Amino acid sequence: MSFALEAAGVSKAYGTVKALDGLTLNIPRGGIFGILGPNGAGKSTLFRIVLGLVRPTTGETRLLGEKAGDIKALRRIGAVIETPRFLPWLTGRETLRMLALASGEKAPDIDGWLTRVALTEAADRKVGGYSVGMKQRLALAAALLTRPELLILDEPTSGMDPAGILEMRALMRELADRDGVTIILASHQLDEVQRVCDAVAILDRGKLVAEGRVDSLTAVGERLRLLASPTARVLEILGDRGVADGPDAVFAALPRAEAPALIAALVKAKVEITEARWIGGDLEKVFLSHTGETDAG
Amino acid sequence: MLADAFAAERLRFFKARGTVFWSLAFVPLVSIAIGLVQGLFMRHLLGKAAAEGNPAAMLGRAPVALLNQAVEAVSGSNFFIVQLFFLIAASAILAGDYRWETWRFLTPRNTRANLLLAKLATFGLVTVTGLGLLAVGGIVSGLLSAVLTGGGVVWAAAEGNTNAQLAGIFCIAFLEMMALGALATVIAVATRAGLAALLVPVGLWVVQGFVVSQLQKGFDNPLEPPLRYLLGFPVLQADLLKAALSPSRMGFATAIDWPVALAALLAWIAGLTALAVWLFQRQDLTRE
Repeated sequence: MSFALEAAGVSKAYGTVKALDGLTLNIPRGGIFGILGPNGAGKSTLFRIVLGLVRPTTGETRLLGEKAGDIKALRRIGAVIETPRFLPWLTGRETLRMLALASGEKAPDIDGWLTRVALTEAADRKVGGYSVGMKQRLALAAALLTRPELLILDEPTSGMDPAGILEMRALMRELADRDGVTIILASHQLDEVQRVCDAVAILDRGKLVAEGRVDSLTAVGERLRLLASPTARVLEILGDRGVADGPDAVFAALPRAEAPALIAALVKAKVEITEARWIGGDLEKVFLSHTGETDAG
Repeated sequence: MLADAFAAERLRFFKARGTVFWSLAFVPLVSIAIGLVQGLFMRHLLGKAAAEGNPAAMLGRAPVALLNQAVEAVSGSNFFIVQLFFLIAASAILAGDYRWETWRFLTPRNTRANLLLAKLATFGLVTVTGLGLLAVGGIVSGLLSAVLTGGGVVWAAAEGNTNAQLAGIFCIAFLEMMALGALATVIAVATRAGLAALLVPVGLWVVQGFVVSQLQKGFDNPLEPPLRYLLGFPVLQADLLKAALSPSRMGFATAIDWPVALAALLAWIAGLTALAVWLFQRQDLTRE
């Protein structure tokens, strides 16, 4: 299996503070992979190491099979790290031109990317006057300018308005599904991660504490709520896996894979099902259970 | 790859209009303004002398040699105030990415060595442009003076090969400024501060100039102690090169010294540049 990002026993210490503590993580190519963790968990440090901005104290990282920091690998990726900062005297268009020149990109589709991130109208305004959300969009265009195979995004929607967040989610999905770009996304917004990511890793205090597909991780503690009548018949069929939720509903504790069979059995037993909905099992619960945080920040 | 980084640096520098004005245009404009004021003052004095039938009125009307004006203007680039204005560009180019925290967008696009060398190359281009503008400023200033005082204008003074002198002075001024720029590169990388990159090199140049000027008094030969021990100073090397070009400038220098001085000056530029690249390649850019 080929990996987009490989980290083997990576540690990074800033004085006595360990930003990463022997982290081992392999992120496969394809789809959108989320990296979660509270502040100080080491997400940005991991990104800075793989981008060659920071050298690890110990361990090794690879990007697209090449040693991290190698310019050949770096030119195949795009990245937005932390809050984007730009030279304030350049316009958005000039910024992209300058970055394309630095990359050796001979024919960058600057107008195309400005359109795709909805910055066409502001393209010839100085970046110093851009809002945080506009800078995020410009940073994304800058990252995509070289048509990367891998996109690393650190909090890409911070500072964006709700419409911008929706556009960004749609763009990420489009890039992953249509253009085949592998996206590694770090975000504090668990709902966003759950919506767009295929798999996630959760970091805490520089270590990997959980990893897996989003649907597998969130399946733990998940229950099927059935609004059905008569509830007594439903409880009888479910046995000890069923718990009444008021007079009209029942909670069924079972894996998703068994749901179709259960519903078929209930229909066969002449139970009238008004609604069947999965409850609980969201990424927030998974995150909090692994990090012990009271919030996602 | 280096050419790509150089193109990007050029674009961003020449779009920074404030920096371009202060580092390139301000000093030539001041020199033109000074020429204008001097011309007006001389015109006033000469007019007064002529009215009084004073022969001094004829002296002020000596023809102005434009190329010699350019030589004077370019050789004035080693004055520390002029160096400060040049280093405004160095500071903006070399320390700008620390100030604006923009290294994170550049380092994934090119090698660190290329990115830093491109900055120094851009400063080199700025230096060539700035010295050229200084020369133009000197010529314009001379023209103004000639027009205002009613003196004639000649392209170059009769004695000496002024073309060669201008070319030589231009190259020496360029090398001295590049030595300053290379030092500014080391300072910018080591301190990550634009102000340090601006002030420290000029400060060190002023100190060297002071030491050299104090110790050379009364000595005929730069190879004799104590001057021999100062040959490592870039300021003395630049002075020796200028003296070789125009022996009348410095009594103690001889033309024999210039190859050593040139080699030493080039070694300073190469050594400081290599040190800056070495430091930058090992630098963590946690927070630029």
